[in-house]
Amino acid sequence: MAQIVLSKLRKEFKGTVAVRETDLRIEEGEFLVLVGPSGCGKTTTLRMIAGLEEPTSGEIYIDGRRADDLEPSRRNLGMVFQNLALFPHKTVYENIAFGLRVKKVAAPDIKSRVEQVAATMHISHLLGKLPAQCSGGEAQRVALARTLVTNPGAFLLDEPLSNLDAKLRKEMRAEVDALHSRLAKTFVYVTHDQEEAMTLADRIVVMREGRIEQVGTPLEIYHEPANQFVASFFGSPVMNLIPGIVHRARGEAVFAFGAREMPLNGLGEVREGPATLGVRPEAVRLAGARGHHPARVTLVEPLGKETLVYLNYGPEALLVAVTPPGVRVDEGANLSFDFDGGRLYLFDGEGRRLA
Amino acid sequence: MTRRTRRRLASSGRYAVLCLWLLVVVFPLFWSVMTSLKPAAEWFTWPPTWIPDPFTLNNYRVAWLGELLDTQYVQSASVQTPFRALANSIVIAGTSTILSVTLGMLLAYGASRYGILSETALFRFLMLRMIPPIVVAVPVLLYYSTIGLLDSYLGLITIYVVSTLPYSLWMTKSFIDEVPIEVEHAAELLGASRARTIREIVLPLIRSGVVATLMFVLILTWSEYLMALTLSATHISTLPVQLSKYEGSTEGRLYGWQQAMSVGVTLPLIAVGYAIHRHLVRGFSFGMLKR
Repeated sequence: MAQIVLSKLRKEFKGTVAVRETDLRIEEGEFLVLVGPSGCGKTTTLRMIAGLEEPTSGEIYIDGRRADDLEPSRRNLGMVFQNLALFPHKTVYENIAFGLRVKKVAAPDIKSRVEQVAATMHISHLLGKLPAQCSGGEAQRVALARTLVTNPGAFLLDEPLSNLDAKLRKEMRAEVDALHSRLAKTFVYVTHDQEEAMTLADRIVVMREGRIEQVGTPLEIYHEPANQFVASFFGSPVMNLIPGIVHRARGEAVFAFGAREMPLNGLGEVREGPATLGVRPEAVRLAGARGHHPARVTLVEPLGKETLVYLNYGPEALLVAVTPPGVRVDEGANLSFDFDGGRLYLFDGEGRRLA
Repeated sequence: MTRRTRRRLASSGRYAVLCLWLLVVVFPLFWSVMTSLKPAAEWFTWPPTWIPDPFTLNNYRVAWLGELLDTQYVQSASVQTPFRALANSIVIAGTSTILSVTLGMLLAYGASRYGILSETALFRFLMLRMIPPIVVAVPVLLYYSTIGLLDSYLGLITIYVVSTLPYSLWMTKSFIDEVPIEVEHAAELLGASRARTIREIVLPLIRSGVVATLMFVLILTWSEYLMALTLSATHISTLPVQLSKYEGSTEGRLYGWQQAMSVGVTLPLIAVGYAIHRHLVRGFSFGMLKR
């Protein structure tokens, strides 16, 4: 078990800043997911924790002990790499046993521990094979087993599932989750996949351009995004973003978009000026002819459990609505829609959350 | 013409060209072996004797055992010390090959993992190979005679290590570059020391490449002539230098003896090459780590 604390951690590569002053406290036994688009600094942060990258400034504490000048091998961390980095010339058994042999564990213990971890990861039948003879999912399990067997205080996982196909990725995702519940150890997991972050994390850290944008539980991040970036990063289909202007009319705040206006009475006090209205697709309600905003249906995508309806509510203005599968809408039809007032977000010109 | 016949024709064409090439490559070897088995009277005959009948081993006895079977050639035969030259060749080529590849590998690891050599520095190393050896030979001769390295093992080994280092560095670097750095990081995070990581992870992964590099450098040093001729006298003369002594203005052209020695010079390389051919195929295909 390990608690990891980052304090004012910063990393520069030849003049460009990869990670800006970052403070983060990773609790014991927590499943923390670092998520963000590529180049946001999430992998660099993980590699600094691992000791593979030296921070330009700032400190790392593992279990209260200063760790940023410790060798990677002395931090008691286990890491799974994106390309797995199995030793290609060693058998699966030797791959798993390597960490134990390095730590000078007695030979009979090595054998029993390797066999035990292989059994829990369901790879006992692979022990005699070379990594190249394993399938993608099997190699994944071997990589996990190799880290698992040394019993590290925390696990660092760098996009471990990104090389798998969609179906296998979901299977392995569930296994990683189960592994975390069983071990009750600290997991720090890097991914660019918002769905992976949502399903696995106790807490999510959203990063962009070397900076932490928001830290929170998956539901907090989804329902109370700190800014437009976080709001549009999570959710599928992505949040509708409607550009417009906030102004006052007859003493009330009104959001004007295109040739339309809508009152912002549900959103409290907001400043006037250019703004963006964020509406999750599930907060767009089709209302036949009775709604406030007329639109034309441009595309209908039935997905089985739900149907996506693309609405054109003005020139070049498109938004997506999620409807139950039973709702029948025809492409080209004219109808109207409303927003679910309780689930609207308003961002200013810089993407900061207004309401 | 169907696609299948076209494919067959193309493949027969390929094989025809390869057969022709094989002929070009193998013929000199064949001729060398045949000449080494001919009695003196057949060395110059026209039309040539393709396969000597009866063949004789006398040439080998002269070239390798120094037996004087024909007094006509006493003068030239007196300078031959074949086994001494063989020993010299083994010591000099062997030592300089091992030193060169070891040193090259250390540099290559540093260059590949720590960037200890800039791109420019790496190319400067390669440019060492572009200097015509003859330009270096005479100045080195002068230096060596001053500091007493002329006609010494140390002198030749030094010049061989320096002149083959670019190959050792560049070849081993290309193999080390192919080993994903994450594999080393993984070992490190599992607690392995740097030395252990190199010994247990990196070296086994680049083994074929290192063997191929060793073979390549061995061929260079084993057959090097100019430096050996310039920087050695009688004490450490190597096989290629010996080989040249069968062609002189006074002794005539002693083809049979020369070829008998030549076969002996070539055979060890062929034997070594055959023994490690699996590594050579993998090493020279530069793709051993692809998954």
